Amino acid sequence: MRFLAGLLKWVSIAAVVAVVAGIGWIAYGKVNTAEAAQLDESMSMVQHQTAGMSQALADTGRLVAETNVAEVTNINDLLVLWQPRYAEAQSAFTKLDSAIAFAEQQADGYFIAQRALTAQYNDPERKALWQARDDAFYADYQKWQQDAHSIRDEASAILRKLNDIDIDLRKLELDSGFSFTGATIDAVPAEISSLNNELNQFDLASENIRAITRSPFEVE
Amino acid sequence: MSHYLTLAMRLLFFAAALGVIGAFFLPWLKLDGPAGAYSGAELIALAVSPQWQYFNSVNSVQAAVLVGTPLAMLGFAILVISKYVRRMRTPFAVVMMLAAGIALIFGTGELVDGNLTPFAGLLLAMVLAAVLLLHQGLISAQTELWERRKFQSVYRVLGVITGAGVRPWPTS
Repeated sequence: MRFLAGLLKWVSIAAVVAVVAGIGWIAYGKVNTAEAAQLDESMSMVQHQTAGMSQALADTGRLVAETNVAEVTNINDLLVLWQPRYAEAQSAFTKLDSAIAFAEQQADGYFIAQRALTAQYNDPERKALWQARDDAFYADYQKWQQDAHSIRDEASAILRKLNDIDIDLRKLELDSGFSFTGATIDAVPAEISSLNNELNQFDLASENIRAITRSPFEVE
Repeated sequence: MSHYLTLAMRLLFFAAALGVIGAFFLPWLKLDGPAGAYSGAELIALAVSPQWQYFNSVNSVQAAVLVGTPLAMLGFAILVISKYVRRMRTPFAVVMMLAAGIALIFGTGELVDGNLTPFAGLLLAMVLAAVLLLHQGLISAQTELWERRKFQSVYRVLGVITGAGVRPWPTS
């Protein structure tokens, strides 16, 4: 029995050491990933979240297309349709915004490291060649950054409108117990319907931007 | 014969406790991003990765749950294993292990891709934690029977099933 207890003790120590070493090894790999790979991964994240934002806004648009919003007369029915889509759009925007900020930070690290290495060349010809290549990479990145900011601004503008509609709906909900208020539900569905065009435009812009905002480091 | 069966059951539950930490190298969750499913070990390692900043800025509470709960589960699993070696129970650790798993499944909504879809590794860890909870519950029941001097035959059967063995039944 004493032998068994000793054996189990060593087996458990070996298992715990193995799992801690495994986690340490994975963490070491993540910390020591090359700057270019980190940047590429962060740019892929932006593409993924752009698609997510587009999907969230398309779902909001579908609220108009699949349910006849203009015919909804009960504020609670409209809120049931509206709230999950609005929450999803808000969340998608936070993710898109964070992904862009993350990619920009990774890009700063990458270009600082790249230029520091180029500066170490002794051969002026080779140095000039790599400087030109670095500059070309940076120009590609700046184009990507511009496109990313543009899609974020467009999403932000639509989200502000969604936010105003949400406030309208919540005010209607708040007033629904009072018969003397002049507030009617008629204006809100019209407001949601008028968004549809903008959502369609965003969808087209998003498709377009996702096609052109490929990471400059992505293999063609 | 019952002695060997008791020993086998004891080893089986010890293996179940080890299985919880083994499950850390199987896929646990698919995060909302281009990468595939993350294992429990990778979720813990996220804390030191560059991606941590992204997850933290999307939702800092959910990011803390994402990294903290697998770490807590690992800590509780190690505690259970160390107690099992010394034939001791830790009901608190097993309950907390299950609670951490549930917090991970339900507390990371925005950061996880799609609906609540825990993968094989997390499911295995949760099932094993539930088995260990049942095991410790049965040992408690067995101890209670001994202290109350009731149902000696049930007490003996539980001693074999749980692998805890039996103590002499007081005659007075």
